[in-house]
Amino acid sequence: MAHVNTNRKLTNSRAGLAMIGGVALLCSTIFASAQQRIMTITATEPMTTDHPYGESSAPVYSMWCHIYGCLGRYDHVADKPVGILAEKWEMIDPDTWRFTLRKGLKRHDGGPGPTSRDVIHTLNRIRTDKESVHSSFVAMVEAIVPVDDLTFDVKTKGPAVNLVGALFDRFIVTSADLFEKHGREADKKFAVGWGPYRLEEYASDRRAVLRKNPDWREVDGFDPMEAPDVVILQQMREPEQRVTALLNGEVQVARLIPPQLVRRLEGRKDVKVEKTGGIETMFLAFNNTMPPWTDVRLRQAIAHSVNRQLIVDRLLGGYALVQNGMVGPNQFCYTGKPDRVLEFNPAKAKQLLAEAGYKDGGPEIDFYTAVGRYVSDRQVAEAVAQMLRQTGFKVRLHTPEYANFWSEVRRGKSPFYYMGRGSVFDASDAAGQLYATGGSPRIQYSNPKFDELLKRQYAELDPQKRCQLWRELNQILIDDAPTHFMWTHSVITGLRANVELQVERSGEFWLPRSRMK
Amino acid sequence: MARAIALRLLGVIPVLFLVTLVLFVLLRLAPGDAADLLMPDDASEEEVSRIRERWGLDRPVLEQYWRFLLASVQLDFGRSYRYGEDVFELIVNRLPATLELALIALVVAAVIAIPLGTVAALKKGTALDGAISVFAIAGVSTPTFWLGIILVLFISAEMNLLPSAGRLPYGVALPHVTGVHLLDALLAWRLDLLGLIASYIILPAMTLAFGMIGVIARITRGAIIDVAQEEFITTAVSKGLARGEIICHHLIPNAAVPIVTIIGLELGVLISGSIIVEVVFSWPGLGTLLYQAISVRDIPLVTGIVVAYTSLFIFINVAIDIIYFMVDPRIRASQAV
Repeated sequence: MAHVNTNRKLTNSRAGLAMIGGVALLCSTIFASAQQRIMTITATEPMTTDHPYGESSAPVYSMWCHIYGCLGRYDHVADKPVGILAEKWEMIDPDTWRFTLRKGLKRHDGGPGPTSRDVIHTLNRIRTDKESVHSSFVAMVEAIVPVDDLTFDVKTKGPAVNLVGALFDRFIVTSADLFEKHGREADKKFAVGWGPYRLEEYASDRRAVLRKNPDWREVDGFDPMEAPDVVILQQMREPEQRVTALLNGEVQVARLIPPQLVRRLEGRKDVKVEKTGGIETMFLAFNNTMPPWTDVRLRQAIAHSVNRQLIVDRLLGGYALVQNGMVGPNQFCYTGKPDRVLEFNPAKAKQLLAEAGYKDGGPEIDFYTAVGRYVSDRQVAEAVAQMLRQTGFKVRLHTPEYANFWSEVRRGKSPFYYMGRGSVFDASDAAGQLYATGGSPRIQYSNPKFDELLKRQYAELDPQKRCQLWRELNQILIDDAPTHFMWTHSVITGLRANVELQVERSGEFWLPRSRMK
Repeated sequence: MARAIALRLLGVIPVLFLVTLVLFVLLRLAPGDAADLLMPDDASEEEVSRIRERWGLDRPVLEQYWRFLLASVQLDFGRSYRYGEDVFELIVNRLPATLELALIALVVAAVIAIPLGTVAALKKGTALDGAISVFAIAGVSTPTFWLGIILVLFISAEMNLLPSAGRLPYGVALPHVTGVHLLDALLAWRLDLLGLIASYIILPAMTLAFGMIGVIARITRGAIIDVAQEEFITTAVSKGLARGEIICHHLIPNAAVPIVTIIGLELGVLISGSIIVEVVFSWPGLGTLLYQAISVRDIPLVTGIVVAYTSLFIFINVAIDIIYFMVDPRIRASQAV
């Protein structure tokens, strides 16, 4: 009874005025809310299981990281990794990283702080638990070896300068003790960890309720006293509903507002719109082993046919940033505009088509897109198809359901498609999977020089030299065009005026640093 | 009567068998693979294969189906790939929310549609009849997802009268007895919560009910016009019975059978048709569960939910037969012979 947020109550009060009997309840909740700050945030991704390794999406990683705690996070404002459960990390040889956990942390139930044993248990559970779907980001880890209670070494299968980026945010540390005692029930009845919030309620497909851990201090000693006392992650999949709930005051934070709905929020005093440069890279992908995409001239012709800026301006409301290559301005190791880019140039596209033997038009191509998975995906694909037709391509546009679309892409059966890759901050892993020889069947690109440079950057400890390698890698991807990079969408978040929340490039946020007036 | 019901219930077995078989085959034939969808984008092919193996998705389809049949006769539909929970438990937990929504929508629809249909029949050929017909056709023709969003935009966003999503706000302590919130509030004598619970259910229930109002109103109108042409009505009129008495005692009871039939059938449609409405209003019922299950090809969960829908539909049909028996003396008489 004690926890209904102020704005929710305003809504309830209006409903309650229309309903006999709601008044008494509302009075008591208004009184209760004055004592604590409750922030309701819309959740847009599925929330289906209380298993901390049972779902894989950035918002779910973030939720469990706030509760159980993860090793650290990337602070996109300070532009550096920051510890959460770990206070120190260093590469001690090309295949080994040493981490030191924080001292003085207490588990939410008063139990001991995290130890190397908990970290090793976590790795084992991620790898062996039947319900775990987190194993991909620990694939580069050979083993975790304890040095002492608070120090452990992560041995990698090869040089991995990107290990910190791969583990931070996603490596959710859970208690070995509690799991040994209770097994899977530990996630249900003893979902306690070391994070800044503790789990108060988890109702799948509805909400998760987090209550502030009063003992929590940030690694730099910051006391999150102005952070909300209770955070409700409320499942709302429909964008219209999220905007409505924000305007109503049912929620304080509405995530992933599509560009076409931003206008509803603009010009209002009670809400504000936060626009953050995102790191979900959108691209047109080719299966480089399927004709006609074996011919680089045709891939380049596609790139020259598409007016990306026009689509961004007219279709995406300006809420995207055109990207050349895999590493753009919002990403790690961006060193400025590449030397050569494939600009919109229909004449050049027609010339390339003619050189490839399609002087009189053609070839006939099948173009696939998911529907409703990415911002305005179908509309973008329609615009792209139209632009390609103007150059001479004979395009058949296909819009399968996402499950079908993704299955075909994963198996390398889609010849040409529009899709995105989320949370690409350090592009190493995504590049390894998409463009390295044998990385996956999705694009089937192979370039020995690219492979060699990619391998070198994994082992390059000097950040400047590593970024220079990335500049070369980026240029190869632009020139060879195994995919044509389109843009990164902006992350648009609606906030009530009394909320201060730094939305990261990943679309996530760190609640202890938020404020609710 | 009992024999007829028993026979009807026995007929459920082959129906359920066929439903599961067709569903299993269709889900297998459909492109898209649960393992692909369960694993993140960055998962390697080996990791996807491992998940496929863990869930038995690499085994022959016939073997998978046989295992499913053996388990399902014990009401064990397996574990959901996505939720990691027992399918039967998931369904039992979500069913009350769907039933509550469907029943409230049914009551709203019946209370509005039967008087409307009756008035339309009594005023046949007038402007009022025409207006009611237009309203009924609009109800049948309006897509529920569109109506739901329009209601959210106007009633929640513009007028700020009712909440736009969910079932109950955080912090409201309601004892869980049946899972039907209105009933639970009554059982716990928490009358103060009734308004709050109703405020969450009104918009989705109105959205669901709108289409049904049209159907019931049209059937009611037609049934009453048919009955009005019967000789016993002419007799009642010639005997000088009051108009109200004729309507209440002769017209409506004799028109009840088709109305009850359509209400029963529509309840089944409401339960299965609530999927979109539940998603639009984030209503945590079977519909949202099915939507989620289909989107990730969660075969045990999809199969379990469709079996639950089918069983409910059959149960409703049996219940309609019993109601026929109660409301129509002619059926009672024919069964007695």
